[in-house]
Amino acid sequence: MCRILLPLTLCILLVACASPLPQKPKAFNDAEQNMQRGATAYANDEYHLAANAFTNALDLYQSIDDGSGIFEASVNLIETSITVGNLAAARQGLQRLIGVTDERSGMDAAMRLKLLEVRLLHAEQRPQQALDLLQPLWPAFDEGQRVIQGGAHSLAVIAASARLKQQLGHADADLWIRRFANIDLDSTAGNERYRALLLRLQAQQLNDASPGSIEGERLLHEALNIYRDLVYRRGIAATLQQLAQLRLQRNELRAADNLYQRALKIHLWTLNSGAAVEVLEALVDINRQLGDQANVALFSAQLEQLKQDKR
Amino acid sequence: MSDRQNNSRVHYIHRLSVAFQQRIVGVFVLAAVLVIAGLVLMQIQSSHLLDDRVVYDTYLANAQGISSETRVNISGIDVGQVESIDITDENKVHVRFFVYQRFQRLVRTDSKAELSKLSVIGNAVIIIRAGSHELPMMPPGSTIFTEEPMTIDELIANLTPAVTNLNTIVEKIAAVVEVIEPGQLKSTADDMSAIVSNMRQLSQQISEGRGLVGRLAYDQQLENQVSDVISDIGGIVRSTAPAARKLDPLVQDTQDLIGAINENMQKIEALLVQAEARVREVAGVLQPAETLMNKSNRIADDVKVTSAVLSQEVRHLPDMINKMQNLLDSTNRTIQNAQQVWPLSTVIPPADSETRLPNQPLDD
Repeated sequence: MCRILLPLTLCILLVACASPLPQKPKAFNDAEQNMQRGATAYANDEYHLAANAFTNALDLYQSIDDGSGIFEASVNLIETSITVGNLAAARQGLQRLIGVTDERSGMDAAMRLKLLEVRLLHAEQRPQQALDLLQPLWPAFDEGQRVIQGGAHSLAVIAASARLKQQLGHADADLWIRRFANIDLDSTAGNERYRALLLRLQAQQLNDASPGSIEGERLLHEALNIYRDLVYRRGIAATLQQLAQLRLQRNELRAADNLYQRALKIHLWTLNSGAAVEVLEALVDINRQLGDQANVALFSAQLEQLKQDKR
Repeated sequence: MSDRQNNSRVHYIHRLSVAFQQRIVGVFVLAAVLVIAGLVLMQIQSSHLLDDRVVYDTYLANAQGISSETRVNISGIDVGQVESIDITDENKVHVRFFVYQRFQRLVRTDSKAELSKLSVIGNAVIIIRAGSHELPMMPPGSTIFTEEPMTIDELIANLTPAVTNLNTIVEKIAAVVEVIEPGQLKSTADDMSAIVSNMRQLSQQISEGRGLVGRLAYDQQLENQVSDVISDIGGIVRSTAPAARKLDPLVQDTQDLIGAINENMQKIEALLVQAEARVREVAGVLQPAETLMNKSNRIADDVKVTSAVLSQEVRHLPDMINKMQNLLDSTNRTIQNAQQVWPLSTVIPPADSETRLPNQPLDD
C-alpha cells in the first residue's frame, strides 16, 4: 500500500509546486505562429508560403484589432512582395500602411516604413528617389567618418546610401563606403549580409578604378563565401553576376558565361525575374560573341518567355 | 513602501537565491530518481529476474507457436519460460526451458509435458503435468517427453476430402440453378397447378356420378339403357353387315389411323412422365432459391442500415476534424510549453521565434 501511495504523493506534490504558465489568447498564438512560419519560409526562399502565412497572420491580427501585429504582418507582406517582384502590390500595401500609421506609432515604425519605401524604389529602378528619401535619415559623422549618434536603423541607412551612391556614380560614393566600413559590424550578431554587401561595394570600387581587379575578385569570393555560409541565394546570385561582369571586363567570355549561367539558375529559383532578364540578356550577348548559335537561340527563347510572363 | 508592495506582488521564487532554487530543483530530481529506482526494483521483483532457475530439455517434431517468450505452466501457474530453440542432427526441434527453482518440486520423474491446443494458432504454452509427490524430483538437465497437438497441416489434410465433396455438390447445384430461368419456372409451376386442379375436379365429378363417365360408372338405369342400345346396335349391325363389308377398307384405314394416334399417345405419355420428373426437380431447386432470396433481402436490409449509420458518421466528420484540430493545437501548446521547462529547455533549442523580417539590405 505504501509503495503505491508514495509515488502518488510525490506526483501530487510535484503538480502542486508548479503554477500554470501564462497563456496568450489562441487568436494571438495562431497569428504569431503564422508570422514565425512566414519568417522561416522567407528565410528559406519559399516566398509563396511566406506570403500565405503573412496574409493569414494579418487576417488574424485584424480579427483582434492588434495594431502592432497588423503593422508587422503588413511590413513582412510588403517585403515579400518586393522580393518576388510584385511591385504594384507592394506599393499599394505600403501606401495603405503609411495611411494608417501616425505619429503615435513611434519613430521606429516610421523609420521602418521609410526604409521599406527605399527598398521598393530601388526595386522600381528609381535610385535617385530612394536616395532623396534617405537623405533626411542620415546620421551625423565625426571627422573620422564614424557615426556620432546613430539609431537602430543607422546601419541600414548608411548601407543603402553607399549602395545607391555607387549605383548612381556619385563622387562621394567612396566616402559613403568608408562610412559603411567604419561601422563595427562584429558588435551585433546577424550583420553577415551587411558585411558581404560591404565587400561587394569595395570590390566594385576597386573594379571601377581598375577594371578586372584581382583584389576586387578576391573580395567578391569572400562575399560569396559569406552568402554560401548563410545559404542566402539572392546574395549568391548577385555576387556571381558581379564576378561574371568582372570576368567580362577581362574578356574571359567562357568564364563569364559559366558564372552568368550559375546566377541564372538561382535567379529563376528565387523568382527574381528582373535579375533573370538582365542575366539572360548578358548571356545572349556573350554567346553571340562566342559564336554559339544554339545557346543564343536557347537563351533568346528563355528571355522572350520571361518577358511575356512579366507582361 | 512602494518597493515593499512590489516585492509582495512578485512570486516568492524570484526572491530566492539561485543556489536555493537549484537545491529545490535537486530535491525534485532526486525524488523523481528515487521513484524511478523504486519502480524498477518492483518490476525486477515481479518479473522473477533474480530467481534461481532449473533447466530442462524437450524434443518436438514441430515447434508450432513456440518462441523464446513461450511460458511454461504447471497446474495453471506460470512457472518458467522457454530459453532457447534449436534443431538436432535428427531434424527434431530441441526446446530448452527453465522452471523457477521454487516450483521444481512439482516436476517429478513421471511428469509429462504437452503443448497447449491453442499452439496451432500461435498461442503456445508448455503445460507440465505435476507428477506424483512420492516419486523423486526430476533432476536439472533432464529430458521431458512432450505430447504434441495436431498441426494445422494435419487438420487441413483431414478436412480436405470433406471440403472437396462439398465443393462438388455446390458446383452441381450451381449448374442446375444456372440452367433454370425463373420466368419459365413460374409459368410451368402455374400450368401444373391448373392441371392438378382440373384433374381433382374431374375425379370428384366422376366419383359423384356426374357427367357421362360418372353416370356410366355409377347409374344402373343408364347401364341398362346402354346394354339395350348395344343389342339394338347388334341388330342394326347384322342388318347392315353387307353394307359394312363394303366399308372394310375404310375401317382398315380408320384402324391404321387409330394405331398411329395410339403411338402418339404413348409418346405423349412418356413426355408427361419426363415433365413430371422435371417438375419435381424444379420444386426441389425452388426451395433453396427461396432461401437465397431471403438471404439476399436480409443482406440488402443490412446494407441499408449500414449506409444509414455511415451517413450519420460522415455528417459528424467536420465536427470531428474541428475537434482534432483543437486537440492538435492544444498538444502543440503543451509541447511548446514543456520544451521551456528544465531540463528539456537545456537540451532542445528554442524554436525560431522571430516574427519580424529585419531591414533587407539592398544586396540583391
